[in-house]
Amino acid sequence: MFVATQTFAPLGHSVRVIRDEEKGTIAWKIKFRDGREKNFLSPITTKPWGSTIPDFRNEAEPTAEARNSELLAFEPESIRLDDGGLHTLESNGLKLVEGVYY
Amino acid sequence: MKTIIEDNIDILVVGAGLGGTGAAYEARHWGRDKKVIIAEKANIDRSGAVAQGLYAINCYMGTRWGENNPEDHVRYARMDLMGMVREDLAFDMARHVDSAVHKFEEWGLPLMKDPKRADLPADDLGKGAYMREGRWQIMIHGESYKPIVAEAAKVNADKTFNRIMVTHLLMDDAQDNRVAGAVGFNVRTGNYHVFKSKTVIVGAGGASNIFKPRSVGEGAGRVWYAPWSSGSAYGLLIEAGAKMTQMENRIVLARFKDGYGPVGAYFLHLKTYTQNAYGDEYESKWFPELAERVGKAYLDTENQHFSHKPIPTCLRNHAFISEVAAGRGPIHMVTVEAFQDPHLEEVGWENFLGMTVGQAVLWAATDIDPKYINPELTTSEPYVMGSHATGCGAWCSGPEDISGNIPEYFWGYNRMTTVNGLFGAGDSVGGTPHAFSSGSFTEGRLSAKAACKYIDDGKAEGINVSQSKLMSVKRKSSNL
Ligand SMILES: Cc1cc2nc3c(=O)[nH]c(=O)nc-3n(C[C@H](O)[C@H](O)[C@H](O)COP(=O)(O)OP(=O)(O)OC[C@H]3O[C@@H](n4cnc5c(N)ncnc54)[C@H](O)[C@@H]3O)c2cc1C
Repeated sequence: MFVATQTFAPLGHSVRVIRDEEKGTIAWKIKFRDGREKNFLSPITTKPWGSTIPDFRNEAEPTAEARNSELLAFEPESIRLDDGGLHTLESNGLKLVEGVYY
Repeated sequence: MKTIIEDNIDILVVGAGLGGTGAAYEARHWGRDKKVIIAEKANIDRSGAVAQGLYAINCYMGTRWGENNPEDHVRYARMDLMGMVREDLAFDMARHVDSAVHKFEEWGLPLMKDPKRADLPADDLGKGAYMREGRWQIMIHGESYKPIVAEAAKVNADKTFNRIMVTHLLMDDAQDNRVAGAVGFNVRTGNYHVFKSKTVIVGAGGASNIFKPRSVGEGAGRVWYAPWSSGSAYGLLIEAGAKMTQMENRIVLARFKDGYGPVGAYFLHLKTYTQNAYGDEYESKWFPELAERVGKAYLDTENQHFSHKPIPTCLRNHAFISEVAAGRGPIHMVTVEAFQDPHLEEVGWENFLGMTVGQAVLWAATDIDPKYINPELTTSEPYVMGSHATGCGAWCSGPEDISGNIPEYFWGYNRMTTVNGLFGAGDSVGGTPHAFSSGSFTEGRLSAKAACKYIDDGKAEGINVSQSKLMSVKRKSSNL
């Protein structure tokens, strides 16, 4: 039988949480054993829950050109939010060498 | 106990943590008519290493502000892992990762803004608007990181099977190096599930509890890495015959003792620092000896500061362990200075509340208020995972435009393992340390696009799994 020799997390404390998806916040109340208290409030989302997630079935089909490229959905515009393209070895003036080197 | 068969799947995502959710989402973009199925052993709203939330996205380049280029990430990861990285895979992840983070923000994930930078014009190079924790990390209010990202996968998958523990992959009859699906059981009902699929993307996460945890007695069960991560990412791939890499590379972390509270925001943002039992800085004392051992390439004590090279994580751990072994422990984090600033105190607490509540519970239970008491640090037990500061996992193909000229790095489909039709993401891909949450999601996206192409190229035609093979896998699965 296992016998605890010391108390790892003695009772008398509490950490209470209220998570509210409507308000988009999470509220914490921490009570130490000695009675001290701390309160914290953080946002959990900035948008009505799940409202901005795209279902790709409702979006335009990707072009054949996009399929054959290295781009992912919404790229390249979502990478830099300007008209810059995807970084490549060529665009960045690099060369890949095989193996481990320094 | 029933047997439930799901047939004609195009893309089966095994494990929908950050890698798997990215895969399911992206699979729908490139495979509008494809059947995309998720098999997840928990519930994808709160599963995997990000279940409890995160307070930082540890991999964000900020190329839009000229903060970092993908090759900077490669250099950093290569330095931290002392050379052991797949540069092609790391570059590829890094060039896409920002687009994932921008989508997270669009979906409602609260990314913190730096008030000093938010109003800067976009062309003010070198200064991004997000609150940087360090060069690569941005700070978030991420308690709901996982449920937000899971939504993207749920909306786009045809069906999400929660509570399915996948135990084995299925292989094709005719080509034994071609994947054909997976089997598992429902951890609530005990029902046996067979998924017949043209491709499988394994995002089943790393492994805790391989090594004896430090927390024993009443504290047993507390570990840094998710206690429910049982190494399926590796078990499934190894059994299927996938070539693996760096499986001996384990991760050990310096964390707040017993609660495993993370230290990143403390070091980088709060500027707290460590000291030994005598109140002395100890780390640099060990550097000359370590530099001799590993060479100037990895520890150049004179020039480190100027070259902005990070000191490899394993060497810093080594200094910590050596100091304790020399009898000058315990090591404390000096928080009492930073915590006098109410804003920094708030960040310090919220950092735990948003991802490691247990640390806050423990401090409350033991009356440790870091404003007045410097808490103790310790090194964790070792873990096996491939997306943090370690790179173990499957040897995967890179993208054509980067890896195409090197046969050892490229065999047709990005992030495909050496088993045909079997892809990886996050912890399951080897040689790609420092991907973290955002990079794992990105790798899932990359593998999903490649899996669609694999199917469209006809590589999955004629797959068959005989009844007798199904029976023998079932016997293995139920004898576990
Ligand atoms: C304690 C901790 C703190 C971290 N902090 C940060 C941070 O601050 N910032 C950051 O960016 N990153 C952080 N990371 C890293 C990040 O969480 C991981 O890199 C990322 O989650 C890895 O993604 P993954 O998909 O490989 O694994 P996971 O996200 O862990 O997902 C694995 C999924 O597979 C499922 N699964 C496992 N086995 C099976 C099976 N047999 N059958 C079916 N499903 C299965 C699991 O339930 C889970 O959903 C942290 C990681 C840890 C552990």
